[in-house]
Amino acid sequence: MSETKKLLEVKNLRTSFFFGGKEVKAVNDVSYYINEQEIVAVVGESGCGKSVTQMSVMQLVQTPPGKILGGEVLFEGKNLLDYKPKSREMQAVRGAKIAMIFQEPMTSLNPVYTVGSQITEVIRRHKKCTKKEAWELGVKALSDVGIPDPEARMKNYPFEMSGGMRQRALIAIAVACNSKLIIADEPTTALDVTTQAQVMELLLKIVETMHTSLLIVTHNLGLVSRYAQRIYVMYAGRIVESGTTEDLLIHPAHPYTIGLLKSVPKLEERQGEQLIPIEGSPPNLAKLADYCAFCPRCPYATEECRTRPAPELRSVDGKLHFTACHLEAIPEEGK
Amino acid sequence: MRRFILKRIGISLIVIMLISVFSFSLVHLLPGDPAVLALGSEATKEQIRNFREEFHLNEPVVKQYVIWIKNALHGDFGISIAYKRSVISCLSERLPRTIAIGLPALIISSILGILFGIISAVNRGKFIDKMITFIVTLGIGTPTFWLGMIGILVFGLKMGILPLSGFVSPSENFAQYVYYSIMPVTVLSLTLLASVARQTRSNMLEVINQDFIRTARANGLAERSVIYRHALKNSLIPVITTIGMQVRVIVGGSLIVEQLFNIAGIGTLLVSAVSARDYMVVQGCVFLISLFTVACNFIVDVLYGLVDPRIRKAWR
Amino acid sequence: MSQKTEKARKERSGGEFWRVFLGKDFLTAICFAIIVIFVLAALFAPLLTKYSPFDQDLLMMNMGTSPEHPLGTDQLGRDLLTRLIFGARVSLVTGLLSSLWAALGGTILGLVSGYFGGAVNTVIMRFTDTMLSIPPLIFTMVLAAVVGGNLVGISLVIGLSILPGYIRIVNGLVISLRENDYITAANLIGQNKFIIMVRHLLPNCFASLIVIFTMNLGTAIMLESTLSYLGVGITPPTPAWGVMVADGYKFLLNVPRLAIFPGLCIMLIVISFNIVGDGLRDALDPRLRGKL
Repeated sequence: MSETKKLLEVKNLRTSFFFGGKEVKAVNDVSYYINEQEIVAVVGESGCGKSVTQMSVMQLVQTPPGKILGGEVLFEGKNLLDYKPKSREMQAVRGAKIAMIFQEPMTSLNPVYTVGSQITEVIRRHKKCTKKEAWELGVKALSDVGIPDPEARMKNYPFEMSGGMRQRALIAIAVACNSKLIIADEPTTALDVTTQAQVMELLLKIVETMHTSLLIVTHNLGLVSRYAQRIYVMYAGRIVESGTTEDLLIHPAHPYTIGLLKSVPKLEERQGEQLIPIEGSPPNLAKLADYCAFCPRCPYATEECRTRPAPELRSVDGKLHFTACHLEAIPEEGK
Repeated sequence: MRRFILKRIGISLIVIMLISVFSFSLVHLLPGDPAVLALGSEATKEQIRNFREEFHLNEPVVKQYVIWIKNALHGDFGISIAYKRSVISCLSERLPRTIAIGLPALIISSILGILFGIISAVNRGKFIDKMITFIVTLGIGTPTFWLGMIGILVFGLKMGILPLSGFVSPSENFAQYVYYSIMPVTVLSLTLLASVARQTRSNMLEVINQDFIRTARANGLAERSVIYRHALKNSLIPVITTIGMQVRVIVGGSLIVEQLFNIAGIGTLLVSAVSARDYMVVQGCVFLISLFTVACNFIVDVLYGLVDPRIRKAWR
Repeated sequence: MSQKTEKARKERSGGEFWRVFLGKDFLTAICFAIIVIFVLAALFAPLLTKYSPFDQDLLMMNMGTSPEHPLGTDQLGRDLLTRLIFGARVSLVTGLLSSLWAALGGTILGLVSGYFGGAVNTVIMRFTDTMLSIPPLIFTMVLAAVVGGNLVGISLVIGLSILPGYIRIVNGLVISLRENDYITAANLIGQNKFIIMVRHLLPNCFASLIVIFTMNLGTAIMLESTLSYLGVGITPPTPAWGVMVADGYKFLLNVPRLAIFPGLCIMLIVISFNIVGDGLRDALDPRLRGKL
C-alpha cells in the first residue's frame, strides 16, 4: 500500500428517482474514494442505494425516472458528471477505463450474438485494431480469465455456457480493454459457492497482475472481509460508516454495522452463540424523516437521535475510521 | 436443423389435411342443393340427375371427399357455377390482382410498422411516442371498409385527385397501376402497420430494460449500436411471428378492399361466390388461401430459427 | 423478484386497482366512460327516442338535421340517431355473446390441453393451428353464410373464430402455472384432476381471462360489423352499424353522414374496448403485456 493516489473520488453524490411526483432519495450525499490498485467494498442491504451509486458513477441511471441531482465524480482529474450520459467522452470511459460487472451473468450477455462477437465489439469500440486483432485479443482475454479452449468458446452463444463461465466472459471484456477500475456489482451472488470463490480469486488475480482497482458492491460481509482493504457501509442512501476492513470488523462504531456483523455466521464461532438478525426492515426512501434513518431499528437509539438532524460522518479515531452516529460510545455488551 | 424442418413439415401436412376436410365439408353445410343451385330452378329432373352423377354427389360423403382431394391434388377444384368455367382458371386469372395489392401492402406496412415501433420505443413518453401510439390505436380500431370509404369520399369524390375504383395491371402500365393502387394499398396497410408498430414498440421496451442492454451501455458501446444492434435483433424475433400471422389479416382485408374499390381479385370472387352459393369456388378459395397461410407460417418458423440461435440449437 | 410479486399483489387490491386502471392516464377513463354510455344507450334504447328503428317515413327521406331528427333521416326516412342507438344493441350483444362462447370454449380447452399436455395437447393444438391458418374474415364469412343472418348464429361463428387465440393463451398460462409447487403438491397427494383444474388453475387464470375477454369484445364487434357490411352478417332491416355503412355508401356524395356516423360508432367502441383492455391488463395482469 505504498501508492496512495486517488483513482476515483466521488463527492456529495445525490441521485433520486421520481415516481408520480414522489422523490425517492436513492443516493443521498454520498462521498467515497478508491486508490490505485486498491480493493474497496461497499456493503449494505438490498435497496440501500449501493448499486444506484455505481450506476450514477457510470451515468447509467435510467432517466426518467432517475436523475443525478448533484455532486462530483472525479476520475483521473476529470469530473465525469460534466459529460452528458450519451456523449462520446462518457462512452470512452465506460468499458475502457471503468468496467462494470453485474449481478446476473445469465442475462447480462445478449442471447442472440456469440460471446466472441460481443467481446470483439467492445474491444474494437475502444481500441484501434482490425477485426482479426480484436478477435485475438478476445481469445487471449478469455484464456486470461481461465476459460479453457478459448478459441471454441468465442464462437459459442451465451446460452451454451454456465453462469460462472458467463461471468468470466464478462470479466474478460474488462481485462481485454485494460480497465483502470473494475466495479463489480454483486459479482458472485447469482453463482454457487465454489464458483463464487473461483470468480473472487480471479478478480483478485486481475488486480495483482494488471494493476487495476476493484470496487466490490455486495451485501455479503463475509466475502468482503477476506478481500477488501477498506469498507464503506451504506444505509438508506447514505454512507453510515467507513474505514479499513480491520477497523470496521473489529471496532465497528455504527449500530448498523454492529447489527450486520452479528447477523453473519463465522467459522470460528463459539458454540451456542446465536445469530441475531437486525429487527425491522429498511426504511421507505420516499418517506425519509429528517433524523437518523436507522433510528427506528436501532437498539441503542436515544431521545436525542429523534430530535437532532441526521448525523454527519465524523472521525472515530482521528484517522480513516468514520461513522455517522450521534452516540459517542456503543454500550459494550452490545458488541 | 433438418429434424426441425421435417417436424414443421409434418405439422403443416396435418394442418393442411384438416383444412381440406373443413373446406370440403362446406358444401354440405351450405344450405340448398348444389345441383339445383347450379342448374337453376327450371332444370329438369334428368338434368339434375346427370349433374349429381357428374360431380359424384350421390356417392357416400367419405368417397366424395377422396375424389375431391384427388382432383384437388391435380389442380382440379371443379367448376364455377356462376362463371361456367373451371375454378382454377377463375382463381389464376384473379390471383395476380390480389397479389398486386396485397404484397405491396404487406411490405410497406411491415417496414413502416417496425420503423414507427422503434421510433416510438426509443422516444418513450415523448410527444412523438404519444403521436405514434395515438395513430396506432386509431389504426387498430378503424374498420377497413369505413376507412376506405372515407378515402373515396375525400380524395376521390371531394378532391378528385385519386380514382374512385378500378385496377390497372402493373405489367400493362406501371404508372397507372401506382395511381390506381395508392388508395387500396394504403387502406389495406393501415391495420397491419398499426399492429406491427404496436408489437415492435412493446418488444423493444421490454428488451431495452434487460440486463444485456445495461451491459452493452456499461461497456461504452454507442447508443446507435445499443439500439440497432443489440435491442433490435432481439425485439424483431417476435415481430417476425406477428408479420407471419398478419398475412391472414392482409388476406381478409383484401376481401374488403377489393370489394370497395371494385377490383376483380380473389376477394371479390369469394364474396360473390358465398352470396351466390357458388360452392366449388368457395371450397377452392378457402382451401388455397389457407394453404397459402400455412406456407407463410412454415416460412416464419424457419426464419425464426435462422434469426434466433437458441432455437437453432434446439433444432440440431 | 419477491418485491415485484408483492407489488403486483398489492396492485390487485381494490383501491390500488382503480388507481392503476383509471388514474394512469386520462384516455382509459374517457374510453371507460364511452363504453358505459354505449351500454346505457343500448339498455334503455326505447326510452331514449320516440321513433322505432324500423319506422319508415318516405316523405322524410335523407333529410338533414332538424330538431325532430338530430342526425337526420336515412334513405327510407328512418331516424338515424334511433338506428344508431339500436345498432349499439346489436353490436354489444353480438360482441358479448361471441366473447362469451369463446371464453367458455377457450377456457375449457385451454385448461384441459395445458394441464394434461401430451396427446390431448397435441390434438387440441393442431385444431387451433388449423383454425388459425384460415383467415378469420374468410372463416367467419363462409360460416356466416351457413348459419344465416341471425344474431345467435353470427355470434357463434365469431366466437369460434376468436377461440383459437383464447386456447393458446390459456394453454400457455396453465403450462406455466402447472410447474408451481402447489400444483405438484396437489398432484402428489392424488387430488382429483378436475378439482385441481377448477380450484387451483382456473382462479389463477382469472385476471388474464378478464383482460382477454375485454379485448376480444372489440375484435368481435369489428368482425360483426365487417360481416354485416359485406352482407353476410346481420340482415336488414335490423339496425346493425355495418349494414348502415354499406347502405349509406350509395349516398356517399350527397348524404355522407349516413355512412360516417355508424362507422364512427364502430371505431369509438372498438378503440374503447382496446384501450380499456390495455388498462385492465396493466392493472390486473402485467405479465400479459406483449402477448396481447
